[in-house]
Amino acid sequence: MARKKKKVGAYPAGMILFSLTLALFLIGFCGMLAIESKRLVQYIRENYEVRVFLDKDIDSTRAATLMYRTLANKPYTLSTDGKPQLTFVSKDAAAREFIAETKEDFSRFLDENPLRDSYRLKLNEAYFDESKLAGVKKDLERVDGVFEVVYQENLVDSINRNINRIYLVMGVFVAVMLLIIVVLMNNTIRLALYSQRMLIRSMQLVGATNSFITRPFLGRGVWQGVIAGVLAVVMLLVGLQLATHNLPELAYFQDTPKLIMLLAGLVGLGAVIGFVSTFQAVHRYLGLTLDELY
Amino acid sequence: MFSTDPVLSFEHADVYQGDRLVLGDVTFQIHKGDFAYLIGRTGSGKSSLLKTLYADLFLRNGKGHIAGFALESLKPRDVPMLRRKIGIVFQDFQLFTDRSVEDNLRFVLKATGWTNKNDINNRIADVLMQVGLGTAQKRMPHQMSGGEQQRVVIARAMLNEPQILIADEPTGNLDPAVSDQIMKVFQTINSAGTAVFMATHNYELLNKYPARVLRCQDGQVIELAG
Repeated sequence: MARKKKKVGAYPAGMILFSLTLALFLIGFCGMLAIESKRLVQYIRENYEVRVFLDKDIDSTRAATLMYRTLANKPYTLSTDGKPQLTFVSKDAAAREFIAETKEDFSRFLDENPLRDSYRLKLNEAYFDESKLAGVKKDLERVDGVFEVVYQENLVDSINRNINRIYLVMGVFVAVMLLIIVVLMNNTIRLALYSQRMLIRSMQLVGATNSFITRPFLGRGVWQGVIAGVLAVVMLLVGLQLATHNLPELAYFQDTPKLIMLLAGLVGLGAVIGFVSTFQAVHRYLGLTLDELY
Repeated sequence: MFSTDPVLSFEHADVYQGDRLVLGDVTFQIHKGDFAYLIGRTGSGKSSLLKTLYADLFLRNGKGHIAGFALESLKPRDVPMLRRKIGIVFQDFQLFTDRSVEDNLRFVLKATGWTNKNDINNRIADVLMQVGLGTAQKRMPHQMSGGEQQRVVIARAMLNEPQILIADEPTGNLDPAVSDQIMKVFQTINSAGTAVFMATHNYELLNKYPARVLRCQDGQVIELAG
């Protein structure tokens, strides 16, 4: 039977490949969640509405024209494709909406429609903050003809707080994963170097430079990182396909250019982790004297 | 012009192992074509002295020169270049067991900067001829006897045409008959002009192949009268 070649720079790759793939998958998963949650947050923010109720004595037509112009020019009013995101809701439309929602027809026991004409105003993302919203409310209430400004208090801060918390947890998780994989690779490579220490010693004693000795290890480390990155990308794409298949709404939150950047980044990160861990482990070893090696 | 500079010289050098002074005020010279033994009890400092020569230990006090390199001012980046100018032979100096004799030697040449295929093949043939293994190129180390393997190790040390061959107990693992063969290889190499500095415990060799003898004793290196 042919003897298996003991290549310089060779070490048990299975464990490293498995761990690195898993770590990169989890990092990629966190990245994906971050991208999708960012889209979700953007969606929530852009659809968050401030309701501006108008004085009762304002004539509907006048309100629709004058007020529209005033509100449209406010810096916090969201504009999409040059069109201010302002919707006028007449008191009659509001009454229909109310009846449809509550299934209670107040017109049967009230002579007059108690509701008011209103504007629903979408905000620029920059004003998505409780303190800024309070300023917006104050500013709007100063506008002549505005009766009251209503928005769902605490929702904004609660969303912001939770999103920040999620990002923080993900950040810590990714950092811990990176640390674990670097330590794991480092230890595995050190063991491999230990088993090859005499060969490395022989190379040093015949005058091989450290870069020549290190090269096969580095090449292997980078290659393993790339393979692990590609495997992680495949796993993520399969997972994403399955998720989108079962929950088609997810497709809305996908940001393809960012997703491509994330996946390419994972392969790059794999290569960098492979290089850095190997470089660090090999160089620590090469500095040892013969006695320390034994 | 023929150079009279020694290949190896120590001048009032102190040899340390870690922070412990092993040999003090060492002064001796070895010239091109010299053959010298280094003897002494275990722990007397022989290996530390040799390690200082091939820069596994750095020289802290005094002066030392080997193959054109000043040991007292040697930088770590110069160490591989120094080692290419000297040949090192150990009793446990490993061969790659997964490749033939030829590939073992080719690997070393590539590791030390050789790139031309013809030059590499010619050099391998030359050194194997020098150690009497002209027909062993394709053999694997495990197909060879201990003596033959040691000859390959000597051939490997000779690849970069060193000015001096440093051998640490090169016959330590070999029986007397094979040791004899190895000594003859060293003599052949020495007669071609390469200096040989050999640490040994085998005093029989000293009688059979007389040469200069340096002894490590009581923290000093003493030259014995021939």
